[in-house]
Amino acid sequence: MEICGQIVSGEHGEIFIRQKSGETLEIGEMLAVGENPISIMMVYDLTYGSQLSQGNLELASGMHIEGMGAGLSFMEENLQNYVIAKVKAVAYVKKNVNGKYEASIPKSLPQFFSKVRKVTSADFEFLSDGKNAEHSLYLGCLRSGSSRLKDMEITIDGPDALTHHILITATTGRGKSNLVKAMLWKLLDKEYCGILVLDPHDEYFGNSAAPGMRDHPKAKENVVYYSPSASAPKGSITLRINTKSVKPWHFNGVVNITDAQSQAMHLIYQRYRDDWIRKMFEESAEAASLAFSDERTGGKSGIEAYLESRGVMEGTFAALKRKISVALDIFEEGGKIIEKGVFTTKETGIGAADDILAALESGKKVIIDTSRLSSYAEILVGSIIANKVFEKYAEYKSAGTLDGKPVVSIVLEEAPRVLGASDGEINVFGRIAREGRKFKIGLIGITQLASLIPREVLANMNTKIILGNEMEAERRAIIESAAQDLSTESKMIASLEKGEALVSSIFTKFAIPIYTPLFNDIVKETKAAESKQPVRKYVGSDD
Amino acid sequence: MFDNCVSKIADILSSQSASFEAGAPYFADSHYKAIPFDVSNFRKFAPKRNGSTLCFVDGGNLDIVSAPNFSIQFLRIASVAFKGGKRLPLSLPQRIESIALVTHASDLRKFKVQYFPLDDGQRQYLPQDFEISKSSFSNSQDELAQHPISAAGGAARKFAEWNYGARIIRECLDKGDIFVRDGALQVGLEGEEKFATDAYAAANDKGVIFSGFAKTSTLVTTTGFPLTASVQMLANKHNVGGAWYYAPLAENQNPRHLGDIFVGKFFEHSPYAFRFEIHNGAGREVGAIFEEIADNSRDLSFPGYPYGLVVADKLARVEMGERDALQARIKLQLSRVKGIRECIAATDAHKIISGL
Ligand SMILES: Nc1ncnc2c1ncn2[C@@H]1O[C@H](COP(=O)(O)OP(=O)(O)OP(=O)(O)O)[C@@H](O)[C@H]1O
Ligand SMILES: [Mg+2]
Repeated sequence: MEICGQIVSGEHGEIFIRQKSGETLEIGEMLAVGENPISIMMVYDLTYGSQLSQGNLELASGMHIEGMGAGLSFMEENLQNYVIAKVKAVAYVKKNVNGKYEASIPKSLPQFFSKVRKVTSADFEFLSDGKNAEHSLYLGCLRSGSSRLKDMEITIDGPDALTHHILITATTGRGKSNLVKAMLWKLLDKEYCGILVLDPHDEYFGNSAAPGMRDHPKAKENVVYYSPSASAPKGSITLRINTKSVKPWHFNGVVNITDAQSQAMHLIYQRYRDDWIRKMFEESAEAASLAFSDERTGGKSGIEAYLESRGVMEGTFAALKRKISVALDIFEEGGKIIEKGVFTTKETGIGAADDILAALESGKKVIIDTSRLSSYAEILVGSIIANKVFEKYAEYKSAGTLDGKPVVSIVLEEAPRVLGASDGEINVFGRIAREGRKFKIGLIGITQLASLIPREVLANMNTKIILGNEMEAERRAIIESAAQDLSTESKMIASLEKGEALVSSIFTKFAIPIYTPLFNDIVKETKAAESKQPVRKYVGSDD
Repeated sequence: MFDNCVSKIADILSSQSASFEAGAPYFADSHYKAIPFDVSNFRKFAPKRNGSTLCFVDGGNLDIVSAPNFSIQFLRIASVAFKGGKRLPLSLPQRIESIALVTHASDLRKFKVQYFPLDDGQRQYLPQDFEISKSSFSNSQDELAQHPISAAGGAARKFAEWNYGARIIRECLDKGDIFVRDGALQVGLEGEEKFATDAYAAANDKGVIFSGFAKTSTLVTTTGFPLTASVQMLANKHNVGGAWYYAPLAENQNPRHLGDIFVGKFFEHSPYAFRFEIHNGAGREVGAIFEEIADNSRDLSFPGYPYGLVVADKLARVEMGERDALQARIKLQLSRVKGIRECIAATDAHKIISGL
């Protein structure tokens, strides 16, 4: 056992360890005391310690730099000056007689003056104890400071974690997307969950330049990729959503609509049902072309007249239509309906939303390339699907058949767009954040700005994967809502490198430091493992 | 206002030093015959390792709980040895820790001191329990004068230092090695001489140099200047650079002070010169002893002062925090004993008042 320091003082939550000379302790490093039981601790701060007083040290330095120190040195450098690591105990692990681990939050202090060693993978066997591999959600490998314990894979229970929502935070470029790619990759052959990815950077499916989910051996069976782009890679489905699938409530909290406009919308829907949007555009296109000839309507469409007859103020319809038009990317020019986005009033895309729902319900991973959509349209697409899932799963729940269904989780980039504070109605994502777990629906929110998400929602995101973040205010927002007390980890979070993270979850005993490998390396690894498998092709076989 | 006072004081003091006359060493005690300063008595030397072991001993004691009729002291004696610039482990315990209990002896003119080592195995390194006249601790002839009972703890420590030092010399050191105790060599306390004699005997038997290093010195010159400062000024005046030692300062015929007195500067840029005493310098060339000590005085923590003494002091020091912990434990146990509680209360009141 390699000793790297010794406990010299401190209190609960703030233990001081004197670093052994020649060792280098790092912030974020995991240390251990004992063999069984083991106290696992994490370094959260480092300071200099010296047997000399500050005045003495300054004098000594003065002698040196002012040229009077010839022949002077520290006789016992190792004893006189050293590093003090501030650590906190994060877990107390006991292996009982039948080989089962019991891990608990430390409530006592490790023995005073205990020798401290670096951790090994073996110290963390308790993490995988009693876990259902089928339901695992991969996050990366264990990390101790900047060193990676590659053979210690860190997973959490997927159904639990996914239904209780996951928040992934970091400043830009610290590896949020990389982490989600890694997670998805490892989930691709797991049937316990369907995942919907709204992908505004079109980075998850992969292309010839960068690998993605399409490179997975199970991609064909388990990945469904929608893209509005005609030049989308092979295997993709062109995304078209018929406006028949769009309901008034899908706009809730997505598009800022006044009460009057909302009322108008519902009136139109009542009258035209599934065709409500098409009618809005068609009729006003007609009205436009008839504007000067039709005295009776005074250039107003039938809808407008109808609305006015129901007490809707003049002008409300125009404003509403403008908003819907922007959200759907459907415009009307010179009596013609022009559809620029994925929404269509024509006879296509009618079943798209249902297809997606069906795929999710069968545990598939659905990636929607929203890179060409406006932010509104993207959220609307998400809202439509999320609503569908919600409705369907609510049905299953009341029918008592929900248990057999896979969990559904929705990956949202720039999550504050939809989870951010709004004075209007709560949108479907907000609803999922608050009560989705009852219906086996969860969110994976990705953000640089967790502080924009209301506290209540943040507190509901019960697993937080915290990557590097140098913004104090952001760290504070995350730390304040974390499942563990991370008040001393702020500095450490600021100094995390790409791919390094801290996982704080109500499903982990302590905040686990992880490293998520570069996605490309994970792909290579999978490929290498694949090619080692015996090829199952026999002459004369049926397939 | 305050600054004004200080600057006036500074003026007076600096005018005194400007008119500095080194004068001659001054000893009130007739056992010493002062020798006037002579610049040719400076000897220069350079730090050097001559292969001997240097062993340093220091002790500390602190009153833990006391009352007019008893004092419970904690004492700790420590040693550290260096050879070739490296710490050398000794076969004796590095620290001796003991409680010393001082009470009034049945002869009321005396204190009784008893040792209670924390580890019974260390009893052998401590002196026998002893009795000591109360007058040793007071200059007053007044029979009724207060003899602070806690002062006797100092005797318990000093005796233990000598005793432990003698053991180290006998068991761990060899010919040519240098033993350095913290403080000068003169003995002041009743009964101390016996311990000193024993330690010197051990040193002489083994051919070990026995020396004392005084952190502070009260010796002065005929002009009223501190002796060490005067020697330094003399050195400055005559441009004696580098490390040096100065002797002789006096012919010493004090039977209770068996050593030659030196003033030494152990590192060129140090502002300090120290009083250093050697019991049996004749056994070895004095310069070589200074060289070795100077080699040990090159640590950045206190250039010009032996690092070994820095360490021994640290090892021996009884910290206030330690005292509080010990005090709590001792008081807790003692307060259960009838009669003791009341005694402690006799001297405790000021603490309560200062805490108000
Ligand atoms: N685990 C890792 N190891 C090494 N490099 C990494 C790792 N993760 C990400 N990177 C590198 O950092 C870059 C940014 O990563 P990524 O796109 O995942 O960051 P992000 O947090 O999603 O950024 P943004 O806020 O811009 O979306 C990538 O190009 C990748 O090369
Ligand atoms: Mg990203």
